[in-house]
Amino acid sequence: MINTVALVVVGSFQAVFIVATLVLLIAAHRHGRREGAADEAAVDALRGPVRALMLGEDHGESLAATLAQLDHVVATRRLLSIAVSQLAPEQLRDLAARVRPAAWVERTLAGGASRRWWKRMEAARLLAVVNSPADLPLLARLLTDPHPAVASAATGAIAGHADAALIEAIIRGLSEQPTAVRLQQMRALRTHADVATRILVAQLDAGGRADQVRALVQLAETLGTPGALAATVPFASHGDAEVRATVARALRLCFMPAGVEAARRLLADTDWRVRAAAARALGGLSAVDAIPDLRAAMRDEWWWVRFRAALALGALGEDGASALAAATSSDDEFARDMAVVVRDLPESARLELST
Amino acid sequence: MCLDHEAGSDAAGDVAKALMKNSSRTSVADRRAAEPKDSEPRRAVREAPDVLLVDDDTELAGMIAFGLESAGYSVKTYDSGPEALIALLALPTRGLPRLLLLSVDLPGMDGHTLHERLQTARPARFIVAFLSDRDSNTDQVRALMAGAVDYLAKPVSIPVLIVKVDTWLSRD
Amino acid sequence: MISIHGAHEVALAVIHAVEPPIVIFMLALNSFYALMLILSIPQLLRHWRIADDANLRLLRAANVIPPLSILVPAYNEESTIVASVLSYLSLEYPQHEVVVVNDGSTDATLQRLIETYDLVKVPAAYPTVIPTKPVHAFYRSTVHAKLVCVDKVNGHKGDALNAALNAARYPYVLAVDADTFIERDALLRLARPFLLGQQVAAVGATIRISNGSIVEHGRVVGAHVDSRWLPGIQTIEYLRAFLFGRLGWNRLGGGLIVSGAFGLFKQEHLHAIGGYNAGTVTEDLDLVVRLHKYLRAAGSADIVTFVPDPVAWTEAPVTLKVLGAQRERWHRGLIATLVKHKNMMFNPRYGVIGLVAFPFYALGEMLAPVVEGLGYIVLLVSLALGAIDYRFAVAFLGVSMGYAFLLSLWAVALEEISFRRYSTKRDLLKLLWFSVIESFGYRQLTLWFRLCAFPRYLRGDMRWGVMTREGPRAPAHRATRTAT
Repeated sequence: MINTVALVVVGSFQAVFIVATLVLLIAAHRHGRREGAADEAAVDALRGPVRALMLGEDHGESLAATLAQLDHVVATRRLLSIAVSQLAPEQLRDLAARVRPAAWVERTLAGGASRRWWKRMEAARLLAVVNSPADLPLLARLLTDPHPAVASAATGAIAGHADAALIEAIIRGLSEQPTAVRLQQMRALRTHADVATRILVAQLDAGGRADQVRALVQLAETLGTPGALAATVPFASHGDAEVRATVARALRLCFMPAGVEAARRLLADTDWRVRAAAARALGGLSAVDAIPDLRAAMRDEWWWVRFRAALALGALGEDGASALAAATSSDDEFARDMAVVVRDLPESARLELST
Repeated sequence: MCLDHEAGSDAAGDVAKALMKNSSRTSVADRRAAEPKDSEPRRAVREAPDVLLVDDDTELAGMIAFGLESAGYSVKTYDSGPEALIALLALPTRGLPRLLLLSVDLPGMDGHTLHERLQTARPARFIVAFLSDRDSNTDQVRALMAGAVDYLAKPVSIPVLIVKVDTWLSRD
Repeated sequence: MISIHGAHEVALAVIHAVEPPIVIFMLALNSFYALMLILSIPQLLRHWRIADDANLRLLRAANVIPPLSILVPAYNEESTIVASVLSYLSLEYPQHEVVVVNDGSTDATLQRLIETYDLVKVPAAYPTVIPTKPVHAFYRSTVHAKLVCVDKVNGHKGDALNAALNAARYPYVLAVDADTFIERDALLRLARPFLLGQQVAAVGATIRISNGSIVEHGRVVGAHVDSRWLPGIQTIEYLRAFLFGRLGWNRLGGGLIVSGAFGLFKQEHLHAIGGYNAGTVTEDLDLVVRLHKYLRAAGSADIVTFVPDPVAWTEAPVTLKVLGAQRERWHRGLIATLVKHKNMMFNPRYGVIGLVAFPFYALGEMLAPVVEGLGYIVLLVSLALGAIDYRFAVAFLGVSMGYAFLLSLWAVALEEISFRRYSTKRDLLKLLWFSVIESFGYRQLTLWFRLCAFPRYLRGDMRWGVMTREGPRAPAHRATRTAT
């Protein structure tokens, strides 16, 4: 039998916890209200200066001055919110140069060395707006931060630094990053397409593990520069099917004879994902010469290869269309069915499905 | 489609006109496919290309040209401002307006200046679109005010560019 | 023949024997909930730190999150379908499509869609990976490129979802109930695990009760707590369940529930397990259990995770009849799923799921109403027989209610610290009031509803016997989907 006294003891502990939680609740409520009010006041105070900057009445002097009067946390939050809204790039650069020396900026950026990841994230996000050449070492550190949210936030600052060493470090680290961060960093590198292409081509020439090569090929696709795309072509015969599939995907942007040639070869790959991506690339490249290959691909054993091949034929003008029409009376029932499906799709649906 | 204002058009103009009439009924893709079949007009088109591309990044220019050529256009590229200006002014003044894809940072003369001089010397002879590394509002406003139809920031997506070229050249 | 005195003696002996286990069970269960609560706090903070609007907008602009398909099964929804579809179409996300499945509605659901969105019949350009009831036609909207619609012969809700799974183009799918209100930025919030670098097989999110809130055009614009006791108490229940129930499990790595009303899944995994199982009562729980099984078997590193942000709102039952049916069904589904997958119980092959989550759901969740019901009976009988002191009875009831109140209070406090959706003092006071009165009546009622599930399960089990099966596999390689 459990005795009453024990229950009373448990009950008393409960009572203490309940009171403590109630106090916490009230405190949280009050704190929330105060914070909300402070934020609103800040928004009000900043409205005029933001307008002045947007309309070109000043170059952000009044905005910088108003921000300087706010608490550093609020100022950081407000500046970030202003920066993602409709400021033109040069207005943003003007503003960044003006606020960079402010004490509140220094304070938030100092959080970049904090052990708490969210402080590092705040610093990284601010850096994306205010960054100056002096911040390069901090940026390099934050870009390789173990916390993905920090590395992702720091990505925004890449545009401000055309530093070859930094870009090389980013490119080397790409294959290690989580997908979302990798994609973000790749897109950010587009602002330094020339430098990035040079480094990328050198890295591709040097080769590496399959996952590294894949990341590099993806980067080439993202950059879309002729040099980068041309450098991916030799990897169309890589031993790893995933690499070949990535190359086949990138080839749809590779508007050069070697690109078309590689895509035609990949249409006969052993892996169906590679064949599907190659069929798509040939459609995108308007490769009329590949029509016979695509007709053959309509007999592929995989649904997706047949589908991509049919869509590609549909994108290849009159010759493609007549090849597709011919396939509707093919002796292969799968090719026939697919040809009918794609023939009957409205133009808008074809477009939607082939991109 | 209204092309009647073209009184005496040259051979290339006729071909383009025929192609564009075609395009008004069928899709752009059909027109693209139709073109290479007939070798005679194609050669004529080459003498006065559909698209003139001025960019000092010759690799990129090469890729854009390949893309547009696969799509059935004839393309001529120039890699410097003054060279392009001389060549453009030497083109026949009659016939259909041609598409000029222009970069801002060019050796010798920048894209804006080239654009503005052309507009003065040959008003409405060219449909001009900018392809540029520069993303500032100032550059975009200047280009559009001077009469450019579009301002594409680099990196440019070639599939998107092809579709834009389709619409620019079949407009009017 | 036993004398009355003898019967009394026996009853006392029985009571003394069963009482300690009941008390210990109740204390252990509540302590476990408290543990979950503590585990949930760091998780909550982690998400809250990057729940910021500016961040979400950047995420949208950066276009780095995978495209997804929203699956909307619709059966006789003519009055709401147009508005719900519009709200799904206008969600903020870089790339998404809406796949509506008209599951053989007998009303004008399909006609409404066709008229409003100018749907036209087009060939079904997708492979049938999961077999379903026959599909009549496939439609595309000519005004919204993001909208497609499958019209099929009526089946189970799971069958409709499977048809949608076949038609979905994108690598991730989001299953929603047509009566769920979704916040505008819900999808972006749901994508946060991608930003946290997680490899995701499924993401669940917090669902709240919409009763009492202001709803405009299929969206909750002002969150408030209903003044009526039934939805009011359910608001607290949901707060508790999502804020630390699922979040706590998430920390342990044993999330078993991704709500069918709002859950994100990696499509290729659902294809691999044959989609939803048409023979189950609660297809969402069954799906997640099978998903866990599959991930283990396939050696996949993808995880089932949870985002604490309140992103979807659902209407709670306002009558006891409907509530009773809902709770009975949920509990029956729980029993059925646990029995069906009983080989996972205490199975070290399934890690935390087999060793912690399954035993907890079986011993804690599933048996809780039985033990608690027994507790009430023993308490009443002992009091009647004078076997225990009334002070002990009061103290025991007080402690168990105290636990319940403390947990509710914590949930309210966590909400106030993190998301602060119920921001007025009035709403907070209502929440506290409902936390107190929950123990008097509501708790016992839901206990009864859940108990009703046992006999129905035992009766119904025979019927399901034949239908309970792993989802059929796709006919080999001629119809498999690329991950693009």
